[in-house]
Amino acid sequence: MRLFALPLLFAVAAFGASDRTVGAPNAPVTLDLYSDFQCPHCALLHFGALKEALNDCVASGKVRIVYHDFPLPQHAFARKAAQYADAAAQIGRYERVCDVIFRNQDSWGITGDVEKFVAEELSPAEMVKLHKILVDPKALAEINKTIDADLAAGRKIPVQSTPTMVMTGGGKRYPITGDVRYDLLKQLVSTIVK
Amino acid sequence: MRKAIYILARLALAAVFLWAAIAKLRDPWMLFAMEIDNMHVIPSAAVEFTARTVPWFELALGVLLAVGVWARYVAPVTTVFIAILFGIVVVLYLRGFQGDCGCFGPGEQLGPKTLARDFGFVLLSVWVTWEATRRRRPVCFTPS
Repeated sequence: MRLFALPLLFAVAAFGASDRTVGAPNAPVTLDLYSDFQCPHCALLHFGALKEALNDCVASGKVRIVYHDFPLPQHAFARKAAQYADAAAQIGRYERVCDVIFRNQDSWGITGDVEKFVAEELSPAEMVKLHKILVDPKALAEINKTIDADLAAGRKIPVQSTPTMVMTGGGKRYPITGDVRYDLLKQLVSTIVK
Repeated sequence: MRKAIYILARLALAAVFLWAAIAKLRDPWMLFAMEIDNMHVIPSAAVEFTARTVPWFELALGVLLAVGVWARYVAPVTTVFIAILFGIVVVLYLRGFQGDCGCFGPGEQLGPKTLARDFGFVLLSVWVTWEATRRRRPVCFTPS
């Protein structure tokens, strides 16, 4: 049981302290993920293939995942959710906040009250830190700059729908769209790493 | 003149299939499998088989159309195949599917442009089939 939990611990520990990257920096495969917190298929991917990837090919050092925000214009609160997640990344709680935001997207997607669910996940001390970042105009401007940079990078690919992943490895780039099956993703990683 | 147009149309159709096949075969089959799986039009168990075989089938059709052998048999098969693919694309569009169409490798989002282009391919294939099947081989009558 303990042995089974080891890869998960490694994956969580491997999450960057202040960024949105998980996995070994020298992993042979990089997976750039462009997602929108209000997009249902992004949530399916997050709790499906990505969780499996974190426990398997990320934990084994084959894959590094880089998260990018791609809030779509038709989703009124997607940018707000991205701001909370990016602020959480600065206090080392990116994955947990992403989980809670995706899990409750049906609720805050209507009301816009992202904070209610983030507060349920983080400790009061962590919420104080998070607030400090979000009310600081300079820090918030920096977060918005990061989101805009992600949007610009995504449009260059071009990202036409969310979720979109770009798998880079073996000198090639493979665009992948939708909430894909993990067994297919894993086979693709194996082909690249081989 | 009509025969020359038929040959050109057949070669154009061959090019479409060769292009579609090569675009898929140059990448690992898993990419096409993920596109098919996203569409939810065939059972999950059939996704791998379809992703592995469809590009080779397209390649075979492309080569046969280009060479022109058995055209009166190959052309109808092509038309049925392309009509099925067009039907799937139409259904996906009506369902609001916004992913890749998977027609010519990854990166092409399904939209009205795709539908218009693919409808053009269907018409082309129907015409090639009509021309290929109306051309009968000379028959040698044996005197009784």
